Amino acid sequence: MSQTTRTHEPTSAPGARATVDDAPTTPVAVQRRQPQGRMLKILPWIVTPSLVILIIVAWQLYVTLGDVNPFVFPPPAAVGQAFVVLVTDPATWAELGITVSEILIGFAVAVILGVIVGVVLGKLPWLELSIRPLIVISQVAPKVAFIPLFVIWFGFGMTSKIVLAALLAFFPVMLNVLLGVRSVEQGQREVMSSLNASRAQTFTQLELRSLQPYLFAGMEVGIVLATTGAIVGEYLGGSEGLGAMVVRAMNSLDAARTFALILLLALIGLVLYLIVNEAKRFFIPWHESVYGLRSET
Amino acid sequence: MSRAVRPPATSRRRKNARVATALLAAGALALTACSTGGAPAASDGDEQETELTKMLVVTFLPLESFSFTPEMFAYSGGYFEKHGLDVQLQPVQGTAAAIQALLGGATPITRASTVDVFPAMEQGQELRSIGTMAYKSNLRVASTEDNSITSTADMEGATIGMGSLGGTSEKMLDLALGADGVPLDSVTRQAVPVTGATMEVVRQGQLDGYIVSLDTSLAIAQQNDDAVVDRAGLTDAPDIQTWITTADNLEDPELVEDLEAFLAAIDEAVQDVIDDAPNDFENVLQTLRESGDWSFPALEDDQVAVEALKIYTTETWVNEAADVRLLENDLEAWQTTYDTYVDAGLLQGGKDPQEWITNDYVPGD
Repeated sequence: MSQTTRTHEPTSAPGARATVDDAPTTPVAVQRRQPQGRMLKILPWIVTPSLVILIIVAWQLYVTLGDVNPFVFPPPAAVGQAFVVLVTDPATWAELGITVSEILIGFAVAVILGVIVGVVLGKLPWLELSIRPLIVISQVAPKVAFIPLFVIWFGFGMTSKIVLAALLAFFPVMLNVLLGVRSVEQGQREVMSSLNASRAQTFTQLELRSLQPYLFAGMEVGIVLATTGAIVGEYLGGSEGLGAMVVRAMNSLDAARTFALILLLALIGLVLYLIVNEAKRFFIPWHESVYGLRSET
Repeated sequence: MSRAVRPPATSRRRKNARVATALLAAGALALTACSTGGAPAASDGDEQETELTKMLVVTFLPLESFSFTPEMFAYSGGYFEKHGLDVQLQPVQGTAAAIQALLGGATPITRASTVDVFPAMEQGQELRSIGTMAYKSNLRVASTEDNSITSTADMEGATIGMGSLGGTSEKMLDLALGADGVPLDSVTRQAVPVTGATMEVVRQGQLDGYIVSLDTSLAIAQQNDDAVVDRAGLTDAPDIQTWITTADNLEDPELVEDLEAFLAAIDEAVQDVIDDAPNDFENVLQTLRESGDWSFPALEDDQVAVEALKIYTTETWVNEAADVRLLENDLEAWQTTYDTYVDAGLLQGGKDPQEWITNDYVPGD
């Protein structure tokens, strides 16, 4: 983090670190950093489109020069055309609605359960120690292998996909919350104690606010995994949603449509991630991960 | 079994062959030493081993099914090696993936149903059928006595499960429904695990029935007293499972030689399975079981195994009209199948399907 960041960081907010260097930044230093700040602001608008164009050009060259069969790897123009057809079809939006609903519901369940379990385990180290092997086992178990069973247990509708999305998103949220609860500095606890704060007050005023950055870190990973879970659930055991559309397109040997659907799914994942990221900026503007980036740009 | 590439048996056999060769060589050396007073052996054991041509063959599903008996038996019975091939069998998920693997050059040959391969052929893909593996479909519908499905009419308004949406099962269902005048959209399709466990979902009423392979249908019928397993009109629709390659491959003389050797090995293996029928396939099952290469419930169950192999050897791998020999493409049936698909709206029509087929590489008499 730069000096500029630390200089502007509010010290009153819980969870914020004490300022190391409170000396005002000199005008010269500010002037020196302004061009860099502007550059950082416009960098994504230059680099990302450039990379996209580069990838498309390389893709086109590869399929043209390599004489690649379009059934195996379609050219970008065919995928673009299929993408336009896809997004202008009302049926796609109906399926998209199903997929997004599964992702959001699964993610919400994961966040709620993740916070509850994370806080409980964070505050009860003996319990966390006792069940740690189970936590690790359940985290490393290949959950995708359970999809056929989920379909049988939870039915063919949205429920089985929501369960998978929630299951995948749960652990990063829970583990980050647990870490957040454990990361509250002893000194801050002592301050609360010296102010005669009750346990509830300590929790709401200190712990809950302190763990927010950790929670959002978990949520950023969780939303990506929830998206993956819902899509894989549809892919392996569904008849609705974009995942099922991918299966149909693949079975029809329609490679361009398959690629277009994958592109659409990737965009959905990106949008959902950005929403969570924006929520983080909104809820914890005081945290270094948000404030630091903002002052840099 | 679902290992990606399958070298063990070949390696094992090779190792055994090497050990045997080494022992023979050692024995010969000892005898030579005795007879010639210790003259060095003239030949090296490794030189006696025939060099096998490596060949990666893609299968559209994992091999744990009697549907793949030709490949499994040719592999474990040493038929591929006899024909100079070191075949590795690589399963992929679904026929579409198998066709893509072929077109992408990952495999020189695979097998696929006409219902899946005709659309690609019609779109101009240079695919060629060089032999027929199955002259008809073996799909069955599993349901319960309370709500049995034994015809396409029973499926109207029903929810039918299948392994994959848009795949072979759904296309065959569409063909069967269309042929009987049942509206296609009157049947709800649902992707389900095509295992015996799904019967529970049928009992719960979430599904009315589901499409399964022959092996699974026999196992379901055996394990569930209330199960009804029926062709339900699915096998009435024409479907030919053919060995396919690309036109480019057929222009490569070396590859053609390998393809012919592959078909010859399959042909011989299938003929031996058929010949083992009076013996209740005891030799075939013994070879498959003792090889240790395969492990799936149907293989260990004598009743299911014999029943399945009976159907394959009498209805599936042989032409019931008996006017074409093993693996030979039935040109008339090929044309009829194409016309049926065109009539059903599955294909646009207007092509000559005979251009996509050849009997030049099928083993001769």
